[in-house]
Amino acid sequence: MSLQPAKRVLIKRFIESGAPESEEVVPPFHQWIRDALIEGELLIDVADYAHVHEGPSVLLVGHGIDIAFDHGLGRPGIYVFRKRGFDGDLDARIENALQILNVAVARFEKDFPEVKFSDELSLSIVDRLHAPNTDAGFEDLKSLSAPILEQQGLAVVGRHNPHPGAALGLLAKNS
Amino acid sequence: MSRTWKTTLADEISSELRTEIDTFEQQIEAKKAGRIHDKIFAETRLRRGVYGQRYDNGFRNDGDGPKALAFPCGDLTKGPDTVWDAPGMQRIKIPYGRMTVAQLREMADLAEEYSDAILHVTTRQDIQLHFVHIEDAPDMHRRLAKVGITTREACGNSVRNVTACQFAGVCSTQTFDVTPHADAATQFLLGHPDVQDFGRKFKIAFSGCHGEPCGLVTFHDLGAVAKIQDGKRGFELVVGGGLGAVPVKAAVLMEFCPEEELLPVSQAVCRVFARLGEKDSRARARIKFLVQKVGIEKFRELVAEERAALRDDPRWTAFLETPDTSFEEKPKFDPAPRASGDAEYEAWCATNLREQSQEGYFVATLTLPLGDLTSHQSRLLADITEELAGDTLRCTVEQNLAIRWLSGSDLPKLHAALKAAGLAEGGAGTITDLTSCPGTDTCKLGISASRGLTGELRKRLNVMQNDLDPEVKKLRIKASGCFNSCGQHHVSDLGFLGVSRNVGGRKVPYFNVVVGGEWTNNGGSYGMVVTAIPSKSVPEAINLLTNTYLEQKEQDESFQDFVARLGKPEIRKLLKPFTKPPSYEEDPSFYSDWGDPREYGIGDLGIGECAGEIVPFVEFGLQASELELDQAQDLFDQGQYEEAQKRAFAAMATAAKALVRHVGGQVRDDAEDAVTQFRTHLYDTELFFDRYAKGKFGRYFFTAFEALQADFSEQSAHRHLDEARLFFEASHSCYERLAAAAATEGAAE
Ligand code: SF4
Repeated sequence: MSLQPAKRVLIKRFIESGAPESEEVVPPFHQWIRDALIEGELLIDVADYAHVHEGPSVLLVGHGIDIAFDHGLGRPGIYVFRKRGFDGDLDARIENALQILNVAVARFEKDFPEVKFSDELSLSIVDRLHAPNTDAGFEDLKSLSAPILEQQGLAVVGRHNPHPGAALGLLAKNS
Repeated sequence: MSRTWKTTLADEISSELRTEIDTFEQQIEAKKAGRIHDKIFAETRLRRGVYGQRYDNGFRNDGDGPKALAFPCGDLTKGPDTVWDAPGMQRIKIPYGRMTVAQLREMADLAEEYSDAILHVTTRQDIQLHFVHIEDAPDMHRRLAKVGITTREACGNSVRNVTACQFAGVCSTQTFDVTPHADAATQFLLGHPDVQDFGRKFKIAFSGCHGEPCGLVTFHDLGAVAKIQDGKRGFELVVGGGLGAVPVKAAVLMEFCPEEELLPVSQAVCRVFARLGEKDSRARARIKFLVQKVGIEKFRELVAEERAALRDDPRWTAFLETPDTSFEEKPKFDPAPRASGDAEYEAWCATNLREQSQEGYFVATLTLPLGDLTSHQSRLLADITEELAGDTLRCTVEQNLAIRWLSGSDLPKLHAALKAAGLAEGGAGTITDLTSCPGTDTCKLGISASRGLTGELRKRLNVMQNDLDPEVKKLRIKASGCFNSCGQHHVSDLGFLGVSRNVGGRKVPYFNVVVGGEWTNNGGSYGMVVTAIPSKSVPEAINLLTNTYLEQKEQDESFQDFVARLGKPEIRKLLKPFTKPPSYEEDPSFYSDWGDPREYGIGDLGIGECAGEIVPFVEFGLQASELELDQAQDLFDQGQYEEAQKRAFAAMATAAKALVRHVGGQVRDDAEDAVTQFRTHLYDTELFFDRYAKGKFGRYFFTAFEALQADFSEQSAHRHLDEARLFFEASHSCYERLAAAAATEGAAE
């Protein structure tokens, strides 16, 4: 089964050290809205989920994308979730999400100079219709994303969330 | 062509649900093609639980003033003043809070794919997903239908989620298990032709006993409390309760309604409501107003007549004759006494564990911070439940979850698994287990950040948790973002209701402080509004109130008794130092709300859907005015004549400003402008004029304004209070005349 029709892509860069407290991230995210940080994307509001255990602690909600200061699986990081908008195949969507993530990470580093991002990221296809979390799906995702990840100097190292109910996802590291 | 959920799930959904969802999808397309009127489409989507959210009018205050949000949909709307592309909320009805692990897993997936990976448990045992797009709704509905959930009538003018105690069937204080009855009422009334023509929503709750709060029947439109009389099962039925701006306790409709009469009597109540309830003015359309208007005696007669005229329906008793066993719960493991464990586990057991009536089994309550859990946590929880308890969980009205049928020997294992999932927070039902409606976070009507406030309080109270006096630990805190009271603050020890004030030309988020509400006895009595304080002063005010309680309480005096003894004036005096914020220059943080660095403003307020359905903003103004009138009366009763007269004038000004805005005028917040604009837009145009009284009631507003410059006395306060009430009534009539005229014009088009 081809993953290509899948629409929803979530890519997260992990923070290695110096992660701020969630409440510190709320004001910069409001500023990102005022600055229209991501060209061509409508950013709408900030949702504070700092009280939730290992969740998207501070969420910058947009129309086509969401950006979060996330603690999923206990690892702080920044993710970009392409949820709608942007015409194109899955590979183009992955590339686009990566570009946006790079912009967000660069700005986050500027806002929080003590933050050090690791060389690791996760890539999930949050679309159970077109991308079920199966062994075959994982192999498909690996081959589809490998060339894009390579361009960033990354190689797939394994699956992301080990829970069988989780969305199809992989982990990639600096090769 | 790529696969769709529609084709993939075609064989897994009942044909009835399939047709309904396909129809909804067609309506979405028809709306996009401009073939459905905005209002009709809004009610259509609301009846499927698809709500609007804050900023869906296309504007947001980003801290530098209101900014247009450039959604790609252009002019397309999904209701009056509601932009198509704006994020919305999906409410998922969970009847009596009972859900299976399969349903929880499905909702976890939906939250992750279409929302923000957060499931939010509401005070009416629903689950809500926020920031969803309307065009994703049909697929969400299909996937929910696959696991036996319908979102039909989750909102709109219909019978909302039927709620019941989360302990039903396993509770030691219950008279009997109300689960089958709540289930039967849910099934019988869903889509019933007699419940389609209400002027407002209709909420039903079941309780297994009188004394506990789990069912909260006293503030429901229809409440049923299990009762046995002469060896027969039945219910005490109450009707016409409600929170909102002016909370009303339900009146007894029937001391005893035999169980076989439960459904026909409920049907008769619905028919009376549909026939005689207010339809034009939504502000007065809940059944409580009908019960007040005709009186409970007459209402009883009407219901009895309606019941007598109903044609027999076999469904009335089918659930008793052939009980539905599909929702019966079976324990997975043998009963056992509660195993002991480490100190952390023991502390958790002390607050979050309850023995079932079946010896050796326990119910664990999972304290969810602000009612939220993530998709990942939901999946882990489904696994834990399946492994240790069985197939089901229940949502609670305190925004928590309950796992039942746990064997005592498995509890340490359960606690360890919950801890690993971040779900082992203790303090269920204590001061750290706060309740909040969505408030300004996502609700279009929110005035203050109720979630921001409760999130902050939660943080602070958790830190000092071990030092808290047991009497303080016992207290409950609940907050609502506006007077619609979705956070149920009226029935908590310390309740907070979002309001705003103008200070030095700037808006400040405030909360009305409500003390002494009763949570037990099904939410037996409502707290009293004592004063309003800036949002940022609430934590200090709570400290002061609880410390004063500990210092001054008499022996075993409860907090509720203590505040009743102290009385409003004393508590107000106590809180007086908190009522005014420092100037902006001294401390600008008071001019922002909790968890939101933007300078506070209520320019983003929209047309309310959260309160039930599309509600014209003028009606909220009128409701606010009514609340102020009640406050004025309270002040008068306490002998505070000057304050009472001023508040009575404020109530008039609130109603006047709502009307001015309703007719398209602009008005500032100050009294003088309210009078000027009212004169220009409503009085000089004679729009306010009554057929018989002409401009008389309007003139009361002008004289009340002039009287603010004169001396105050008991007599003058009394007179202006009376006149304010007449002005308020005249404002209502004026609004109704305007609405009727608009409807006639609309029909003529
Ligand atoms: S209507 Fe008011 S009380 Fe209800 S959720 Fe919205 S802000 Fe809260």
